[in-house]
Parts: sequence; structure tokens; C-alpha cells
Amino acid sequence: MSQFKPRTDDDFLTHQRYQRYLWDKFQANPSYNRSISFIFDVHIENIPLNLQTKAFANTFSNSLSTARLYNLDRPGDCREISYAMIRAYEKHIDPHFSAKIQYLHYQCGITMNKRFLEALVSIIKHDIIHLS
Amino acid sequence: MMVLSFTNKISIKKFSLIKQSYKSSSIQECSFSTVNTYHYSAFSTHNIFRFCLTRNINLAHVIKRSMINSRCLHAAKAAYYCLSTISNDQVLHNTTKENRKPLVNSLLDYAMNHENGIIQHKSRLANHVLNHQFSANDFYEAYQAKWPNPKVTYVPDCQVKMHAVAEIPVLHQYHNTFGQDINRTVSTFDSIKTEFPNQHQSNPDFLVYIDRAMGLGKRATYQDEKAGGEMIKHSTRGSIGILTFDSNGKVVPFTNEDLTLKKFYNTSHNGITDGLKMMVFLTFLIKKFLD
Repeated sequence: MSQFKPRTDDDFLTHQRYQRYLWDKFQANPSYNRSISFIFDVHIENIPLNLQTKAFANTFSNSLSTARLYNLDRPGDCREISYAMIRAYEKHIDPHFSAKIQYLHYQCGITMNKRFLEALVSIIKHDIIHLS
Repeated sequence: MMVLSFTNKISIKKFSLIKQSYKSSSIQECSFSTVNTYHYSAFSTHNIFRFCLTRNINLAHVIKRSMINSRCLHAAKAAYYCLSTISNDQVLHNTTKENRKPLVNSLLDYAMNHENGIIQHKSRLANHVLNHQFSANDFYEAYQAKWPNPKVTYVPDCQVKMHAVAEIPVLHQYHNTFGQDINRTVSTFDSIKTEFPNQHQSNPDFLVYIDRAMGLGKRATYQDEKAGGEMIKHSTRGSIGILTFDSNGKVVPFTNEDLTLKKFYNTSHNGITDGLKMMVFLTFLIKKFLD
């Protein structure tokens, strides 16, 4: 049997109580001359994805290495994430995605990230070679 | 092994000072570039520590980036909604060179809806896809149209990149939590240099004017938005950030660090006395035993 025990809401209530205490006694106190750090908790439900999003998520995850942490400050990781995103989106959601991004970049003057555009261009080149 | 490369004599001295200050022993690679400001980057093994140094400021800040797990469904969701936000037919139809408001509106919806992914993933991915500088007025006018709040003000006519995607939801939560005591917040977009007593952050994201009811206290202070792991581990004083919890009450991961609320109380709040830190820590400890 799993030992996993979900947290109760009490932890969050305690957190909120302490934040309120810190705010009242320190942050809002005119005689206190520093600034306090705060963290806000946001709660989301694990809603099941619809079919399209699920297909995108599967293709996106399968294009990347297993259980690896990607850092978008690394050029290599950046390229892999871009490829995975564009490929999955074009395959399952919108086959005209590349054209739309080009329209946004050239016609609307919205500057896209250089690395993202490089990935897009190489996918287009690959598709042209593959089709011809 | 540490690898350092520099192209400027002054920079070596300054960088060694920074390195000593932060005692970062895990630095593997360091790069240097100069445009109008000196800019140093130091890459560590797991997460990135970036040191920024300008001509006038000796030591600016440390940024610890968030990361994306290849098997994280929340990250995939953020990627999906990021691409659908910018390639939405309605947005493309209405966005022109002269009018970027439809795209800004769409980006704001993406930022504010927490079901689209967590804030850390969304801001990183939006930064990864778009490199455009939008008018801050467009972002905040769109925000005011949907969540009218006269207390939220900003420095007009500034250009912002995708930082707004991370900043606005945090500011929204800040007002939701402490709004009744706040007279006004001013989003600065790092355009204002401020001087407060005991201040570590010279260019804070938000200036806050607190005015409590019944004349209990008037005060001007600052808060700085932090989205990544730095909001817990390398938090300067006055950081504000959002942690997203899933249905099981666990933090949705965005870095290889184990982030918990207990850690936050244990490591940050530099301005708070040790007694209070200990009190909070003990309370969490007792609760853990009781559970």
C-alpha cells in the first residue's frame, strides 16, 4: 500500500496566517525599515486533457529525452524544446503553424526568438526535402 | 573543473569579487559580453547562476532559472497554450504593425489563467518563443479592463518583454491578499532606481505604498517579483512569487530543487529575527509529527 499521504489544507492555512502576521507586524509597520518576502500559493486541479492536448503532450514528451530537466538558457536544450513544440503542434493541432509564425514575424512585425525561428526554418527545410 | 574566459582586464577583478561574494564553488563555465553594459554569465552544473554587472553598479543580482521536465504534463500544457496563444486565428487577424493589443490581450489571458500551466513554465516558454518588446501600457490597460483596480499603477511608456507574463499574475495575487492595506503599487519595469534603507534590490519591480485604515500606518516600500527557484533559495528581501500546488497538495516542479513552504520560512525573510524563523519552523515540524 502506498505510503503517500496528501497534505491537508491546514498547511496552507498556517502559511496564510503567518503571511498575514508578517504583513501586519512588519511589512505594514511604519517603524520597520526593510521589506518582507512573500509567497502566494495557487491551487490547480489535475483536469484531464482533451484529446488534442493529450496528443500534443504525448508527442511533445516523446520527442524529448526521458525524465530530463531542460534548461532554456542552454542553446542545445532550447533547440530540442523548439523542435518538440513545433513538431507536436503542427502534427496534432495546426498544420499551418509555420506559416502563421512567419506572418506574425514578417507582416505584423512581432520579433520572434532567434533560436525558435532557427528551429522553425530547419523544420520547413526538412519538410521541403522530404516532400520533394 | 572551473573554466573562465574574459576579454577585459577590469572584468577579471570585478568577477572575482562577485564570485567570492556568492561563494559559488560549482561554476563550470563563464562567458562575457559587452554592449552598453558589462554582462557576466556563470554556468553551474544543474541550474544557472547569472551574474550581471553594469558600469555603475558593482553587484546587481543573481538569477536562478526555472527548468522544464520532459515528462511534466504541466510543462506540455504550458507549451501547448503558449503556441495556441500566439497562433490563434482571431489574434492573427486583428494584430497589425500598428496595433499589437490583440496579441497582448491573448498573452495576458495566457498569463492569468493558472489552468494553462504554471507561471514559471509559461514565462520561460513565452520568453523562448517571443523576443518582442511590447508597450507596458498595452499590458496594463488590458489588465485594468478585465480586473479593474485603481491601486494598480505603472510607469507609463515603457517597453517590456515577456516579464509581464510573470509579473502581472504575481501582482494580482499580491493585491488579492493584502489589497485592503495597499494604497497604490507602481510597476517600474526596472526603469527606476530606488534607495530604501537596508535595500538589496536597487531596481525593484514594484513600489508599494501602504496606508492602513484608522491611521495605523503609512509606509512606502518595495517588492521584487521572483518566478524561479531563487524566490526561496536566493531570495533578496522583499521578493514575491507564486508556488503552484496540484490536486495532491504538492508543488508543481519547475526546478531540480525540492521546494516547500517550510524551506521558504527557513531560508528567506532575511529581515525577520531568528526567533520568528524558529517559531515558524517549529510549528511546521510539530504539524508534521501530528500528521
